[in-house]
Amino acid sequence: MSFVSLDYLVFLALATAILNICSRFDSRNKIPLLIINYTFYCLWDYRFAVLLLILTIIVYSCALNHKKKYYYLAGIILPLAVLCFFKYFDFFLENIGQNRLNIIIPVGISFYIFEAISYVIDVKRGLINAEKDFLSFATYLSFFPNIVSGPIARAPKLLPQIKKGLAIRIDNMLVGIQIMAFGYFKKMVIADHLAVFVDDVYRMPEAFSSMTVLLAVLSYSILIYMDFSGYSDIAIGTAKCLGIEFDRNFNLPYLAKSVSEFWHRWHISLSTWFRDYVYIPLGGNRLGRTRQYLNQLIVMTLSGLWHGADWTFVFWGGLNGLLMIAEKIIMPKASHKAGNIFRIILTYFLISLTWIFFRADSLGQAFVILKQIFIFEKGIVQPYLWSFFAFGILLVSSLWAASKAEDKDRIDGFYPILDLKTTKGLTIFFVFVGLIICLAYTNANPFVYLQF
Amino acid sequence: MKRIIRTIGKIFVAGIVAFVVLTFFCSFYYNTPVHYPNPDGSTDYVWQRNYHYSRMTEGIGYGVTNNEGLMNEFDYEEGMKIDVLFLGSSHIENQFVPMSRNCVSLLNDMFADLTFYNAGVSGHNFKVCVDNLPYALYKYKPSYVVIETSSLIFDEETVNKMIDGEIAEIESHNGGLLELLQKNPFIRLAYSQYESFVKNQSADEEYQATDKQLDDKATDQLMAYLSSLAKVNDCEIIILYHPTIDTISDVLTYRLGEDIVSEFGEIAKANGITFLDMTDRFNEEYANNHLLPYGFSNTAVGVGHFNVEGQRMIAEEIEELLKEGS
Repeated sequence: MSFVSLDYLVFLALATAILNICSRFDSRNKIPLLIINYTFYCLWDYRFAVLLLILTIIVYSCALNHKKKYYYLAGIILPLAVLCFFKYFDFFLENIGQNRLNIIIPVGISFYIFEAISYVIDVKRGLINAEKDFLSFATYLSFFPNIVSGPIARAPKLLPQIKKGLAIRIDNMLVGIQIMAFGYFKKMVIADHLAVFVDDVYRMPEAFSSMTVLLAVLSYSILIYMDFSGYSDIAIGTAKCLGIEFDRNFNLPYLAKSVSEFWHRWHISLSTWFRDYVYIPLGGNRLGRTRQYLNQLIVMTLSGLWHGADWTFVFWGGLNGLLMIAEKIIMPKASHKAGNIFRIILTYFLISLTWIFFRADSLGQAFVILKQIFIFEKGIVQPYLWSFFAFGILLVSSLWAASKAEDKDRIDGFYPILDLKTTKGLTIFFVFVGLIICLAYTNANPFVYLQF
Repeated sequence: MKRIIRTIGKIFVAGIVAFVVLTFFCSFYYNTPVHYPNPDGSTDYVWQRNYHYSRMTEGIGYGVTNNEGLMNEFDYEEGMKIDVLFLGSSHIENQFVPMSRNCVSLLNDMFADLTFYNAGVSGHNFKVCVDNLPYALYKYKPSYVVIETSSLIFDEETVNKMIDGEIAEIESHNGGLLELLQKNPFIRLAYSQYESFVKNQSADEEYQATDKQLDDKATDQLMAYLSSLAKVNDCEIIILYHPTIDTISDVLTYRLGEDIVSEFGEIAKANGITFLDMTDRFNEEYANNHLLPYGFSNTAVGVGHFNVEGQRMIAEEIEELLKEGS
């Protein structure tokens, strides 16, 4: 059940109503939410609900017995093995010249397995006590707003909220639906329209002029941001409706002044996961500069591989790692405004070029697109209007955020939440929702991150 | 209780204000006329008369319908001499480019001494046009009729229906509340978006798989019928075929095979019907100028309705054809 469907809105309304009624009897009872979580997951693909349940039992047991080394290791290795089997086994077979088994990847597996692993490690590190209540833990791991495509919620943050009980209140819902509306705008109005153009160009890059291919490449950078941050907004808004707080997953990434900063602003829940559970254990920046660079390269390559079992993703991740190393070596620190603007633009272009490898079907196609940009070839000219609209929206929202920032060197994104208890707030919200209805791309376009 | 009434009041006021704002926005973004049944039968329906329309959902089009509710820059008067009548679907009607750049308007600019009239209406595919043809010829008495199509394969049953005038009529949902609702551009767009979202846009009615073969006998029967109509009404019929693009790479490929198109052309020619195939022109424009006849800067490339280039290509081909004929 996609977030972008009428079914989902009906599901959410029913789920909220049921949970609200149930919480009046016993606000700490986890069973209704657990049933709703599993119902949601089964509506995606009921076959893998059993896998989720088995993993939950394994991780729960391992965490409870984390003091025993083998349990602790099993709590990490078993989920990882499941992830590797479903996501990478076909890739492995293909690369050793064997036939693929065409294994179906369970929805959301990359996300909930990362949550499970981080939980076991956090228990070991003493950041959270091993959860004794199985229902609470199962509810945490299967929490429906974020199970399919994140954000990856850490147990120390989410589990106590679930244990405390949901806070389904009108105030939370008025904020939650606004955050969801931002998500729908990003996804249906911007990302889905951009996908039409980007898909055309990536399907037949040689047919287009260099400028059009460049526009498509830049459009894809906006598309993937709007698509994934839109998804995150819907997840965060949904959770908010239920009284659960998630941390933000994106923070105006295209205002980053370096590739490293970009990764502090992009898919934050994944970046911080890799930082805390891979980069720092590898030694982080404590073991000298060479080791730090190597660690960065390893982490970014693994991050690429996490996104998908394909050499394009590995290359994309590695390229980001190399750029981060390169900028540490050669990039001077700019302190004046013009220098910062130059760095923002340069970072945006570099990141956009790396997205080529992320979007392309193969490395060969990625290099064709790169070549097509730089040889100034003639071809179909498509000045896609939705791209300019998207750039305009991004620019306006960035300038708005900049105007609100107290520290001009650190611009943070925010949700411009309206007071829906006033006529003015309601009017603006209704107009916004009406515009989403009018401008939405209505053909089905799945979320990009669903495949991961 | 007082609080609840106040909240409902706020929602109501906000809803009304938002509705007005959105209606204003849609009056530019997507403002299409309502359609009504056409009693003279030359088309199944006509649009609201003298209506300022605009739409930006596919291309950017605007204009004013004429006194008949058709997409022409001038009004039709009883007994007016129409030299070339255009019948066809939304491709010819074309609400997707400014009316002045429609192929019919371009032809009117090209030929000062001839009058070209656009009776193209959305949904009027070849079957519907042939079904309406006797009435259109009776009413407009043109010297030439151009019937636009992207389909060429018709079975015997369909051909018989065309000849007998039994093709199902396109309904107009005018009258009562439905008409009132359609007159609000926001409601109309919202409904259209909802319909498209739920249906996920059903397949194009005109789509014809390439593995289908031409029914020679039925096609011949159809052409013979058109030929007899042309003779009775003392006019020349031109079938304007524009192929639907299948793939775009170094060259364009089309949904219908070349053999089907040439076979259809032969049968038409044998019956005295002019067959204007746009394939070569489309290929030439693509090879030389990288121009495509379909698609807009706000939609997919090479898909959908004629853009301004497509309209120009058609106008130029018709111009050449008429000049050759004269």
